[in-house]
Amino acid sequence: MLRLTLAQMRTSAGRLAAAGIAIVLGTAFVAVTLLASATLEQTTHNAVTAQLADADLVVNDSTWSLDADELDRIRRADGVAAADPTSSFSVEVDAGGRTEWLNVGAVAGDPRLSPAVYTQGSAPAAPGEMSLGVGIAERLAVQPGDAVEVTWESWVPDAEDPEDGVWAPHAQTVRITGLIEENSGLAYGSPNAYVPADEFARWEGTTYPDDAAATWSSILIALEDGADVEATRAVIAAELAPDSSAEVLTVAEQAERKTAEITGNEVTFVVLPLGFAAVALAVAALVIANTFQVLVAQRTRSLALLRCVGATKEQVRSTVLIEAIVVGLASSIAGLVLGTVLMAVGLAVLAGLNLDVPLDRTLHLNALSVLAPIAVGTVVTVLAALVPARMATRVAPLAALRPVEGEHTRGAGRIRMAFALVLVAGGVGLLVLAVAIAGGLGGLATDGALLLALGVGVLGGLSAVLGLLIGTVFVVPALIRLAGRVLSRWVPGRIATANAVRNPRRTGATASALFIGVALVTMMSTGAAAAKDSLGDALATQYPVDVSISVGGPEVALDAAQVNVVTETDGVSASILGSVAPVTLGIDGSQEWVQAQAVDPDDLTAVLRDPGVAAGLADDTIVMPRLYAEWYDLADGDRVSVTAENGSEVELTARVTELGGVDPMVTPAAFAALGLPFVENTMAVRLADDVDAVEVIGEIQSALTDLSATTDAPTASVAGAAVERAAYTSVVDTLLAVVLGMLAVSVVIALVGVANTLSLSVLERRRESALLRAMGLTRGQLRGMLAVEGVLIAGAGAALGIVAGLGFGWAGTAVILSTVGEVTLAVPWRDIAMVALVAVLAGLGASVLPARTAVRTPPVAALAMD
Amino acid sequence: MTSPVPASESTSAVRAVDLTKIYGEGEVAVTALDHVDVTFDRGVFTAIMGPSGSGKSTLMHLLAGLDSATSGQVILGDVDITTLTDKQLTILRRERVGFVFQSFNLLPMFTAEQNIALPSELANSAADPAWLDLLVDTFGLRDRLTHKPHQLSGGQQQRVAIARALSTRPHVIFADEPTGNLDSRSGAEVLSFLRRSVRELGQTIVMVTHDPTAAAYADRVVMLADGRIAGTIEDPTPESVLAGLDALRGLETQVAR
Ligand SMILES: Nc1ncnc2c1ncn2[C@@H]1O[C@H](COP(=O)(O)OP(=O)(O)OP(=O)(O)O)[C@@H](O)[C@H]1O
Ligand SMILES: [Mg+2]
Repeated sequence: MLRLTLAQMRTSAGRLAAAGIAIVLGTAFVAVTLLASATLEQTTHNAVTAQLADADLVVNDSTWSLDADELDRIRRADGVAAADPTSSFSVEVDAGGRTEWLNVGAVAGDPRLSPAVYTQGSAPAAPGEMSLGVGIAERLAVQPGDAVEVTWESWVPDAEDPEDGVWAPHAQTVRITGLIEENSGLAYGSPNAYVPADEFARWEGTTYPDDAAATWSSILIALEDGADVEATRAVIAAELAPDSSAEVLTVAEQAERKTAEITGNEVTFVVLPLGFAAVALAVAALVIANTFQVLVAQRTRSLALLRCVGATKEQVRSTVLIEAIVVGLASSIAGLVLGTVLMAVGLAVLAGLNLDVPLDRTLHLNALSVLAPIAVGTVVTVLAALVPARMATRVAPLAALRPVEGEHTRGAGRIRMAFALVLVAGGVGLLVLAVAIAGGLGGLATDGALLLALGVGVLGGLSAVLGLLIGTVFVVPALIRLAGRVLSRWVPGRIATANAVRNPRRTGATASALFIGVALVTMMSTGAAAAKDSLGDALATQYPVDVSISVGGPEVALDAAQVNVVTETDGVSASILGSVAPVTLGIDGSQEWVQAQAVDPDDLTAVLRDPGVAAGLADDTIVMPRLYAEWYDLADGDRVSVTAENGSEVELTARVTELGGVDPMVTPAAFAALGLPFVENTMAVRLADDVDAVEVIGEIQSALTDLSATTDAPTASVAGAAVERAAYTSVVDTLLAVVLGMLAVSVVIALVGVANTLSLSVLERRRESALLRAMGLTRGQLRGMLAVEGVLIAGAGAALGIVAGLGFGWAGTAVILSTVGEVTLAVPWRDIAMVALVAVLAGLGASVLPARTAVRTPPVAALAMD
Repeated sequence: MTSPVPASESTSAVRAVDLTKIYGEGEVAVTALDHVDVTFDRGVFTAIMGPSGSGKSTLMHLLAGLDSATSGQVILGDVDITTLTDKQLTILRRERVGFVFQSFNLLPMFTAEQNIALPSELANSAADPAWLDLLVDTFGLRDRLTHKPHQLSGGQQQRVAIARALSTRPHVIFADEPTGNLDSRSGAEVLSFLRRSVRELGQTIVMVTHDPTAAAYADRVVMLADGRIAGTIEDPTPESVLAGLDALRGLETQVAR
């Protein structure tokens, strides 16, 4: 039987190649999926863990109470090679009159714990040495070898009255030993200058009053080679103080947390790759099954002849299955190679583009990414061939003798129709139910309830998709007939329509592959539009002010020249000046010391990304960030007494808002009532929407540093929340783009399916085409006919996919964002138009090669019996 | 008997002038037609006969513009079709030539009626409804119009094919063994329809056949042997055709020896 099978395969090599292409692409897609999700994960991981260097474990303590004893014990623990606390503080640096604020940190005890990347020179090794960011060095006009003066102040309490004290100045001259790459993206706030660890401890020590020792919020740990991560994690956990609230995380867990903070859910990394793989397989399987079915249909005669000469059903079945295994295995291997090459090329291209996100450029080849595609490709091929194999055994020996090829299509059964209708109706019902569950929660959704709504929604979506897939046999031909009406006056169009609906099963199956891809792309872009909006809102609340510029101390004001250079920087769209002064809040008898900021509420709205964070700011109110409110157990509307350092006191009403990263706010009138002068010592800046935040903030800093050389105004420090906001946005954008890109590949596979179906139809209809040509169909008309057929099939699949995708996208958005508030259902017109255009173009494209074969065969040759 | 029929512009529907067709090249080259000169007159039903492999189908394909000649000319009406481009040929075919093949004449996804109307639709010209009506009635297809080909018998299918070939009132109709797949009764039926369309509708028909009885329906028989014209028989009867064929066979046996 094997010899026979192989002989048969040789004679239909061309047709098998068509099946092979589907498998090759499907497998290539699986391979690319696996490789790309590894890359995606690694890239996001790199982005969110840039500050963690190459640490293995991280100890986190949100109460900031990790102390030197714990650090010591961790360092001595089995398996720990090095451990360093993450700590930094601000110092002012003066290079011959040019001044700037630096965020200085300690050189790591192990290179694996050092996030610094040296572009020039080396790390500081001895006291009196320092390295700093290459951009800072440029602005200060210094190079390695130059000396600069570093100054900082520390609070020294008065011996008699702990409430009183003075700021003691410290100064030290250091020599620059090396320059490091500037921090970007999410690492923007990390140290941009380093001194040796001992030196750092000495400097930092001066900033602690008396005998208080430094404490930290996190410690990075590098393990010894071969140390077991889990075992060491347990050892370290045991070394922590018994009442410690700290937890020990692997870097991967830390990355997941960070990503979860950005993407709002923790399963992104688990679900995405699996989802991609499943989609890839489903689409590929559809295409493969379809191709094999056609193959068997075409061989009806020779299979029947085999039966005539005495082959048993089992033998016929095994010829088909053996064929599937051979083709599946060979094509899967080819697909793996293709996928790997594509990924390598893709990475090289991406590496060439200057992305904001640090792209991981390694190809993650491992046993899984090699074996899985081959196994999956082969298994899917064999599974997909099972139905056609059964079909083959049903071929009656008599079929060999049947002269005229009849319509071989049975009308699809009523049961099938009923089944499809029930599934679709049930699915839509479940989706509505899911939206209702989520909507009924009215913003009070617990995670469990949301999960329930999600589960119901996913179930509904799956049911509807399944129903639609089963129903494509009815829906797709109906859609095509409808579209065909438009073409009925044009004969090739009419023939194309008739051809397209001739075999509803095949057309349905071809279109359903496309349907899945298009539905997913549409769903994602519908969901993405909504997700991006809500994420944008969240980020605007968390980082309401793009850039803030301030000078230290309540008495010193920003120089008019400084304000001037900032407002004149390109890309700055608005700015206001405010005044910050220390005050004491009396809340329920307890006293809390905070910095209060006075700003004009009317001017403020111009610079805030989310004006809602300053809602309720009036002369008799104080706007409290929610974080502060939680610390002080303060509710909206509570009365708060505010006391200035001069002793005067006012009572204000607390307005708790989502204000993030900004001090509590009052109006200038409140400052006046407290007898506080409005010293313009802080400035809030809004950047234009279409500018590169990193660039503009760099320019603001340069302008200020340049200015520092010519004036003796106090050194201004620049904080750019916009950079972090942009970094978060870019991570999310990249994630979404990658997801869409991957799904787009499934559309491409589906289109290969369309091309396959067309070329197989062309082969099948060789004689028909020849007949038409003999009767006077021109080559152009023949091409046009196939193009129309391709467009009709692709268009029907795409139309169905767009409708379904929109529905799923809306339902998903409504469920997921119900907790956020008002959900607007947007139609991503641009994306939909693009998908539709791609489908139509691809339908056209899919017909090109088959049409070439079709027009090349002369009418006579085709009339010969085969 | 071997002298070519004198060519006349007014009476010739299609003629071959020094027509040669060689398939393949070098060692495997086959001369299917060897300098053939033949004329088919208007309003005449001509049968082409000859042993298998003698070049009958080849001649017909060349005459119909379905294939290109190696050398020589084919004059259809007053057009030398060997000089036409593929597109011009296609348009000529759909406007001036009709076909009936041995089998697989109809498009399976269209009804009999749609199949008949197809050529005029391809040419973007509405077929004359009165003419179509006449054809449908002449061929007794009235109650079969909405059937698809697989619902028709072989004879009915061939009748639909002939009706279709006639639908555009082509200059000439070519039929390659149109009764090859039919039993003798349906065959006879189809042949009489062909003859009626010549007699009553004034058509020109060129038909290839192996069957002397079928050839007897024609006005004239052209004999082919080894890619050459081996003679013609006017007003053939089954007997005269058989005799002609026997003569040819004798010739071949001699050649073979
Ligand atoms: N496409 C082709 N390639 C090569 N040789 C061909 C081709 N078509 C026909 N021939 C050869 O040309 C010669 C004439 O063939 P043709 O089909 O015209 O014969 P015929 O008279 O129609 O035969 P039959 O009665 O069997 O149909 C034969 O020798 C045949 O082998
Ligand atoms: Mg022949």
